[in-house]
Amino acid sequence: MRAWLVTTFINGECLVEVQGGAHLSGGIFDLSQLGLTDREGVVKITPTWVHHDVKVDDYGPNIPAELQWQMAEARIGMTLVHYDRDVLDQCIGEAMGGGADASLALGFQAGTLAPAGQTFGRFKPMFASGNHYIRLFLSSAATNFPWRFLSCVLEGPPLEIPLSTRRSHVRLSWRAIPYTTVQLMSGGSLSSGGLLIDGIVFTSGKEISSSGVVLWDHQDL
Amino acid sequence: MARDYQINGEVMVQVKGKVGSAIAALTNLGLTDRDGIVTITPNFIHEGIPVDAWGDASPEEQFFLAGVNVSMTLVHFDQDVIEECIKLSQAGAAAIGTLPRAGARMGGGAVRFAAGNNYIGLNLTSPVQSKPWRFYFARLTNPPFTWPIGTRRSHVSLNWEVVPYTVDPWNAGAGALGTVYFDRTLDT
Repeated sequence: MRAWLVTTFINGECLVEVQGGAHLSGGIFDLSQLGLTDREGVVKITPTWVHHDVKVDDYGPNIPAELQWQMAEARIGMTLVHYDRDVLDQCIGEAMGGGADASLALGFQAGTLAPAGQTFGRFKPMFASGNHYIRLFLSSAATNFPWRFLSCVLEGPPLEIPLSTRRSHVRLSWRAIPYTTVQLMSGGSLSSGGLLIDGIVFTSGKEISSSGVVLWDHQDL
Repeated sequence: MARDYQINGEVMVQVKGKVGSAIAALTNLGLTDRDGIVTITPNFIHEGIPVDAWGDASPEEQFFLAGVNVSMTLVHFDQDVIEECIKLSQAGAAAIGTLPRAGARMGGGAVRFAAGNNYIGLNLTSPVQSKPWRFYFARLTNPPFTWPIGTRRSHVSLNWEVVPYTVDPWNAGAGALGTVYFDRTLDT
């Protein structure tokens, strides 16, 4: 029998770091320190599972006989007290549909709106120019159990930036989704219209596959 | 180490401030009177970790750093040096009795003794015992001073607070680990 380690868990100091797309070269395209939390606004990670009920008449109207897994997302809340305003500004710009994007010759800054309907990832890989998702790193210097959320955007609200003579506590909430790019499909057989799998012809030979998409892990930076 | 009576000897209180201040060099602040000897009071900050199974008692505690209070009553002192300490303790006020902006920072993100850092290096000599005290980041606290004025000699009482100031609390991942807030070597 495995001996599990049951102990009081103390993460220790948590430095929040971010990394974005190549269009932010000179900015957060390089791994950048966003900031440190205050004592009360410690980082809080809240995963959300989506389970759908599979009901059968014999079980009555309320209790499912089976559940289906329908993916997950996570929210990461934090209140920063020692942070880099320029890094935060770039994160805000990305959350408003995209910061400066060389490929579209659009130089959106925080406060300037991207076109309505613009997607964030555009099926580009993470850190590619034009992909506006941000990778979020939560360090764990004391216990070496860091968190890495692979594809995030800042939510608003809550995004609160108090301005006063006292130190500013910036309240942030990140949304991490299981973003992935379009992948080449495997298996099936070539047909005149494309790739034939389970009776369906995929003309591009590509699809989005949810299996194995990483929402977070505990890898080092 | 040896057990013995501990006699510090005469204490000269010395201060050193940021470059450009009137106390940019180590400066004599003053001597204490007989009754108002220097008193050093460390403040350790501990926080319990409550566990429901232990009721209202904490089965473990965490140490959350520390500060120090230093109080003294000076009878033979330099009035100009005290006034400079008062200005620096008000985040670098332009003149005695003049306020800076509300919310002005004490350390200003600057290293010790650099322009913008208003903390004061507080030094207590130990000519007999050779165990001096040096507090790295001190400021006058509340009440910062009491200053009797009369026909008799003035005994000025000063209260100092020592904080573990640092420019970058991240400290390359080490946090407060290794931060010095006092030692037993005088400034030069």
